[in-house]
Amino acid sequence: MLRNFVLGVRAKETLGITLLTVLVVATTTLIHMSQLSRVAVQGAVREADLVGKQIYARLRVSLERAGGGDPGMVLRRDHDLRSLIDASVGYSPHLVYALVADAAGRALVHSERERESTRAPARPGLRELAALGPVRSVQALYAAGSVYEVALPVQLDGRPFGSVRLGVSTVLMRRELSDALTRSLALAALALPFAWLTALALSRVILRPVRVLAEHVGRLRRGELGMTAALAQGDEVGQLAAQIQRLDEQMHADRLARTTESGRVHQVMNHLEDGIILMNDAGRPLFYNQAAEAIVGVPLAAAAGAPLVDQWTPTDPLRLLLAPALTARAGFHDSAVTVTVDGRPRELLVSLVFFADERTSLGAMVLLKDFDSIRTLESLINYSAKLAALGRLTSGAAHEVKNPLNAMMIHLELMRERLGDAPDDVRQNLDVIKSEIGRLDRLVQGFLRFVRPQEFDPKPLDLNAVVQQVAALLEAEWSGRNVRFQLALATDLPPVAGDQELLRQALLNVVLNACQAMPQGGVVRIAAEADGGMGVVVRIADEGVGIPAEDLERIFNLHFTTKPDGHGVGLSMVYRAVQLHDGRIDVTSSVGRGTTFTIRFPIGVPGI
Amino acid sequence: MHPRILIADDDESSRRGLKMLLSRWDYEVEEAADGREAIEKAKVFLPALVVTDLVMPTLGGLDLLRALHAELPLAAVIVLTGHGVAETAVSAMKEGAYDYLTKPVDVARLRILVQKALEKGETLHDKLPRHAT
Repeated sequence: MLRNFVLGVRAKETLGITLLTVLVVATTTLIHMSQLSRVAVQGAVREADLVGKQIYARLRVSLERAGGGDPGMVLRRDHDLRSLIDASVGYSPHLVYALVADAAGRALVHSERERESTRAPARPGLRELAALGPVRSVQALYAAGSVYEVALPVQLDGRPFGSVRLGVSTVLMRRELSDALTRSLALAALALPFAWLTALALSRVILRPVRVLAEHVGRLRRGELGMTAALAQGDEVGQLAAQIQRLDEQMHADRLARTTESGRVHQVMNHLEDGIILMNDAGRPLFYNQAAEAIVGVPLAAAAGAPLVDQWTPTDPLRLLLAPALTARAGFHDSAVTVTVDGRPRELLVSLVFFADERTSLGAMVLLKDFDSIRTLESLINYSAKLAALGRLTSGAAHEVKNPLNAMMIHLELMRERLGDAPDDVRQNLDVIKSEIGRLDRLVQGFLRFVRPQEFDPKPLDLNAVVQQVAALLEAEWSGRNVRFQLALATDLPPVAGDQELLRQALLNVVLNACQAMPQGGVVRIAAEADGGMGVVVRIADEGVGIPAEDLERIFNLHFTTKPDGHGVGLSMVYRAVQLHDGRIDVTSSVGRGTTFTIRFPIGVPGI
Repeated sequence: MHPRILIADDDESSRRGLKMLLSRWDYEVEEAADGREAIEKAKVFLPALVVTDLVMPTLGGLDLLRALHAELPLAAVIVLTGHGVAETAVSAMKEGAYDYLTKPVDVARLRILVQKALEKGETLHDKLPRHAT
């Protein structure tokens, strides 16, 4: 793959530095060699020049002395000239031959005798070689044909006579150059590993911050946020590090916001009474809230690996309902199912919704609504509606009752005035009628207070004090009938905004009920404690006869009573009083074992 | 001359009883069975005090209060309320009622209230000498 041929920064850098070293060594070697070759060639040219000039001087003397004749013969016979030529070639390391040629290029005198009187072929000139560039001159030195010539033109009496030509061998020069080349190569051989090591070390130093950054980014990718890269340089890497740092912080903030948001969503989900299950396309649960967990029976972490329906036995009604619908991808709405949760049957309304975009399915949601709580809510709503209707009806009726009472009172006073000094027994009768009118009025007044309380005056009050008052009042009356009271009142109870009289009446009614439920005697337990910072909770538990399940939801109804002489007003009043305080009353009961009333009051001033 | 009191109440039995009682206390009393009748009679009878029920057909006690305030600004008004709901009585007081009594009325308290209301009306009357009665 192409990817495999892509070099890393480090390899590139090492290679670059090595190549640079090679280039530098090669260039310096070349320059050095060209300089060497130039010096060698120039030296050879100078030497040849010198020898040539000596030969020329001798040649002129010889020819002048002879005064005429065949110059070739004259020169060949000149022993001094010949010994000069022989000595020059013999002693010079560079010269390989020397000759004097006539204008036609024939050798008149030659260091190699057998070539005399023959035509001496022209060879490349050494001067031209010296004029060449550094590369070409080195090239030429190493090229085949290792002999060059230095020629000096000779003129006699102003006419061209010929030339003195000297053969110069480049072998020696080449050897000198080769020595230099060997040294350079040795240097390069030494320099290259050194350069390579240096490059390696350098790359390590330069790349270290980059590696640290890479690790840091890797950690970011893995989700380990909030790390500070220890790279505070002001260079380019430092700037990059600062950018990554900012990115890190941004991601950290984003994640925090997301976590907070999702935490909030989870909290909201977990407070819902309805169960919610989110599944992926394969039917595996991705999320479910606490209400759903109670129904599934397994924590999400344990259930996440397998399809949701596998959590239930093959005959479980939820599985029978959901499995075919999930296979057929058919959603449904509010199908009623009875399941067993914690050993108790619960009626649920189950809905299944599929999520999908245009092409792919994204998953599904199961909604589990508690039918019982819906029914409770409905009965509460019905009860409130009934109360409201009753309120309208009775306040009108009460007004009608007040008028005759008023007339009776007025006429009673008239009668009293007209009777004047009536006997005491008549006055007593009148007083009885007056007090009975007052009693009737109080009855109407109480009834009116039930449907629409006249005076609801909430003030911060200590519920413990009210409980103690009520208990003391009833204890005096009921201790003779084997009823005992046990109070567990928390000392850190926050004050409740309540109407003292209304609450006293309400608690009195509940506790009285508890006493009456125990004809054989028993213990009434009253506990008051803070309700998790939200308010105060009061529990009143008896060991009495209990209330049958079918009666439980009717006990707060007006006129519902199980007592032969009861009016069915007491618990309605309690309910109304608790409702006025924005509170909530619940009851649990078990026939033959007892009943517990739980009353919750919020902290703060309720809406008046 | 005895001070004049107008009674407005739709409950005949109460109205009659009140009339008899107030007459026995030496007041000149006129009666009306609803708010509209009360305002018509008040224009002619010119009572110093009106004792009225709050809930009546055709014109309620609060409306009667407003009308009386326009027609007879010096007449004092005592309101009788059957509801016993403080806010209704409070709104009556805001509309200028002298005081209120809940049904069934405490007769002794009524007697004192009537006396006081009339005394106050007289004081006001004295301070406005140009007003013709």
